[in-house]
Amino acid sequence: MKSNILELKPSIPSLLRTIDQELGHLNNFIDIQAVFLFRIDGYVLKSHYSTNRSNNLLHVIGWVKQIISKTMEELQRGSRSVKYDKEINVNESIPVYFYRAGQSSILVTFLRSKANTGLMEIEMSRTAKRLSYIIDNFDSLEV
Amino acid sequence: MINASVGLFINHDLNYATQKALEQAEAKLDGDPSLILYFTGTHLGGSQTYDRALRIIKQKYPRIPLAGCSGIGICDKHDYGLKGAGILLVTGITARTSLIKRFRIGTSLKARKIRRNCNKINRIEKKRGSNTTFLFFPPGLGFPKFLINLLNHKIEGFNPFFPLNNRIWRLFPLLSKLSGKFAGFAMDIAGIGISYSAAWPLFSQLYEDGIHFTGTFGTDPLTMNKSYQFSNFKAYKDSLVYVSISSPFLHFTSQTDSGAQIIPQKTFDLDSYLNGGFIPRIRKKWGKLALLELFDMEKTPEILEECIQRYFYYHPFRPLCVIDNSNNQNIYCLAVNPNLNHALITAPNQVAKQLIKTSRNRLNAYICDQSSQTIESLLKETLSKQVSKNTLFGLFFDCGNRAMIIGDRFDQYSKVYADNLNIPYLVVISGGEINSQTFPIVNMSLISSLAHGTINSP
Repeated sequence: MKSNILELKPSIPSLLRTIDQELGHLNNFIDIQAVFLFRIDGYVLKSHYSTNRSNNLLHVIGWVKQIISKTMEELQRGSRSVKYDKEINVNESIPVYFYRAGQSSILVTFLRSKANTGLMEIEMSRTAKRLSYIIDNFDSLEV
Repeated sequence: MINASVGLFINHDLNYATQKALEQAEAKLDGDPSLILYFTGTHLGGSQTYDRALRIIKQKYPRIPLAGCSGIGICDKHDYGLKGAGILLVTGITARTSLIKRFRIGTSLKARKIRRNCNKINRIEKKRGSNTTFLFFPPGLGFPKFLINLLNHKIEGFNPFFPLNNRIWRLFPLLSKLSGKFAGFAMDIAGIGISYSAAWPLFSQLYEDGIHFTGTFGTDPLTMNKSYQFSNFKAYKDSLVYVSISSPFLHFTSQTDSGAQIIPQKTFDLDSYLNGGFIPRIRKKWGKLALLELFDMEKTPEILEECIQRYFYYHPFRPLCVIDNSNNQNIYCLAVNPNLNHALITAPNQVAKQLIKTSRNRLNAYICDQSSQTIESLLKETLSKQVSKNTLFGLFFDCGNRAMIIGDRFDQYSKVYADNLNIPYLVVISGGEINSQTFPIVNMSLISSLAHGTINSP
């Protein structure tokens, strides 16, 4: 993965690989349960999650699909991010973050219930910024 | 010729990150380095992970002194993140590194040795017409795994702090004092907690000796595992690493910037104190209750809930400014834990004891406000004041608590550094900052340590 995004090689496979690596990098943090890149119509473009907990997360994914277009409106009005605490069972709720990743996609992350959200916001916003750069410049970066 | 360059690479694979960071730094460097400063985020796998990464640097520069530590994160002009490696290479200086293993056992003897060594280096270099600064990397906050699990509320229905919640701590301050001493001693032996109080006398004495120093305690708030200190291509736990940087063509400055605003109406004092940061009684009430009243938060549990989520284990939510005898502002952190009736303070015992109402040398302290906006605007001020056209390179030790407050705005925050600094620099995000001043250890602050060229520099 390139640290300096400006050094990216302008070819479609390398850009797609970089998007995947960026999401993988975020998913590797112990405080993060799952990372998704959604298209604004609710279609999942890319996902990273642990299969151990995927059952618990399925209904959260369904809920995300329902609210994603409204959240995009919110993000387009200038919000940096949108955060919800989503209840997954009686005793547990997890923080769900939405970040704008370019004009047409949204980065959605499910954190662990007692995650250090302050520090994770640093990494999530960094990933969103890098994804925005790739997605918005996809046409110009293309060979 | 003095020259410095920075390489930074963010990645979970520390070996890869180190290799790339080194390549970046080398590409911008003119000549062979005389010192390597190496900082990392916190990576899984213990000392072996760091040792393997350090071997990559050793293969290229086996004889160059290296120092550094692991912390929360790193940032430079181009990138920032919580995992990866940052390298600062400096040429044309004289550097010496030293390692003190198991720093918290027999601290007074070890501190005496360090002080003697620092004074000796300072004297020798002064005779040669050189200026010297020291960088210190003492052991940071760390807890064993079973204690982390307890603090992490992993055992349902069990309160790990139940012995501390007994009212005898509130009613008998003398008992607090004695038990606190014993607990502090046991924690130092086991290397639990943080070494602020152990390191305080050393830094106070060095400041009195007129030695210039800065540094940071490596801390990882995500896992609360012990951090590592790096000395000459090996990683150590519970150790203190320090490095001297000397040159006749450099002079060094440092400054503490809190990014906090005092609320003058909200004064703060304690009724009793238990070593290790526990405050059983404030204004004749349980510490936690009194603190929540002071913050007007006793009737807003949802705000407390948000703080609990944002700050793991210990839940700091307001900075405390302690005014020392030289009228400087020193920031520490006040916190609560949902399972504990005591309030918590991150100040070293030496400072916290001076906040007790009945103390002979009582210091004034005030609750402060610290937000991402105050942090950002004060950073701009600090950088523009400190940096001149002669500034050659810089190291910034920024508190992890500030990074947590900034959160989403960190991209903007890192741009403030980039826009105001036209020099190679590295920001190390960590916990507990060290600067040569009356109160040498502070929290929630930014220490800027800069090297400037002198008039006779080549």
